[in-house]
Amino acid sequence: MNQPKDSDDLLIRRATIALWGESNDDRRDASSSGGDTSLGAIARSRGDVSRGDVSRGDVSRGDVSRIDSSIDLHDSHRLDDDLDDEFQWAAAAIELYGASRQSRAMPSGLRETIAQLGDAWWTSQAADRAVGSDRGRGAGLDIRSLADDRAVVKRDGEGEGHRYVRSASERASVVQPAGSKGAAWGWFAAAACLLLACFAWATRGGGVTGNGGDGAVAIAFADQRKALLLESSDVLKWSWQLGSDSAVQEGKSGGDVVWSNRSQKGFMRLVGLKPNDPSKEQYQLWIVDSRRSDPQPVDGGVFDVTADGEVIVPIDAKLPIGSVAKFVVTVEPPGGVVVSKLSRVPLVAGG
Amino acid sequence: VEQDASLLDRIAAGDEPAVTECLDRYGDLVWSVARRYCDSAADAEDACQEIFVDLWQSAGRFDPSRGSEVTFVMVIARRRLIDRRRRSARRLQPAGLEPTVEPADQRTSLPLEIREEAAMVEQAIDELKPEQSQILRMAIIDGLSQSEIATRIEMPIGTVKSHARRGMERLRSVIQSRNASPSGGDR
Repeated sequence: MNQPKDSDDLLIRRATIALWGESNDDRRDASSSGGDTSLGAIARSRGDVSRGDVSRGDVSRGDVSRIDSSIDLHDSHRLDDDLDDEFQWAAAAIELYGASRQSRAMPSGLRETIAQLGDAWWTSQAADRAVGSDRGRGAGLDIRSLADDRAVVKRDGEGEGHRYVRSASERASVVQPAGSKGAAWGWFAAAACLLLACFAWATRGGGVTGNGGDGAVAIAFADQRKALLLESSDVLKWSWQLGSDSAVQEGKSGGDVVWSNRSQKGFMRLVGLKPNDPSKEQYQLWIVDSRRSDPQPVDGGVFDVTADGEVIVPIDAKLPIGSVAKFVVTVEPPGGVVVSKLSRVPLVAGG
Repeated sequence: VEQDASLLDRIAAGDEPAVTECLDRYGDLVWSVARRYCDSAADAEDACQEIFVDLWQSAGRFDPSRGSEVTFVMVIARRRLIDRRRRSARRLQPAGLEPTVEPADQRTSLPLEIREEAAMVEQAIDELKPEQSQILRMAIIDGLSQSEIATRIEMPIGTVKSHARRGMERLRSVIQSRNASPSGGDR
């Protein structure tokens, strides 16, 4: 701050990035062509030169690597987060002006897809509001994983237009966490996946109809669990130890629990746990947090097991978790309890 | 007219029809911008889906004192599109990409309030110093690089940068003051 020239340079760089993106040359070729057919070329040239290939000398390699490293420091994802926000507004205003001079009608198929996406999104929000939670922050992740899912769908569906079917081992049975915000998000993700999948097929003339939402929910949780295992370096994974409880089926029950402390997210994989009658009893997860001074474990959410076989349940920790010592699944009266008597403990997992 | 200002607020508050209205109002605009940034129509379609989900989720963060609603939409759209451009650059595209036959887009006219807003921006750009407005137009609308602009208007690159920056600063303050004054906005 005591070097005005530097901060001035920084301001210029920020305005420059806001204006031209991360490289200065990345919009070349636009002038000579100008018609619709040049758009691809412009976009490609934007992409090609955005890293390293600075040939015209108006920004040094040092500048580019400095910009790049400042980007990479911040999650490597949000270029614009590093910029002066006000410049984004000015650049956006100019972009608006530019777009208004060359406006095109959104294709009706896409409009329809986004409308359905909107319905799914709204429903999930309404469900979230109903349980009084706000998960807006985690949403970015969901979108990214959606985009990844879609890529898979497209690849699988290529050519033959066959259905997107997972192997039996991956197809988990249905679970509906009672009043869980996770359920809402999972549902949205699932519905969105399905829509995107349908959209991908439809554009290839596949003509596919989506199946029921329940199967998709389970698939979405299975996907999210897998994504968590792949993406988070801090994920712990513990196998369940079986308690002596009638909910456990000897020789059939098992599974594991995965948890990422950094993302405060996790999933239980429950195998062969007896389906419960929600009007009589429900399962409840407890998280024993060794960093918590209060010895009472944290409520990890109430859930139902509605089918035999494998079930994936998102963990719905009601408080931030410091360090997990143990996961405990109990059987409780409908709706769960605030403090468990631990009278029925089918599953325990811990390090 | 009051509805114009509060569409995003309504989405944030959980008003279901507002989600569809948002698509009706901004669909063509978002598509138009996405097409300017994306290689292919398929890529632009993906981008539009991301942009709208982002928009609904970010609706609660819209602050009318910083700019109009449509400008906020453009901020979100640009953010997503720049993100995507960076990601695809990282994926290392093969040089000999097959040119695909793209479906021709239908020209359309944007909703009145968006055109009014765009006209306001145009006016603000026109009020800049001639070299500033010229450089900003060339940069954003024609998509020229700084060096191309420098060559085209025979001006040192440093001067181009500095005009661009001052133009952006000026524009941002004009936009802010218009939004701050009740007579300038749509209300």
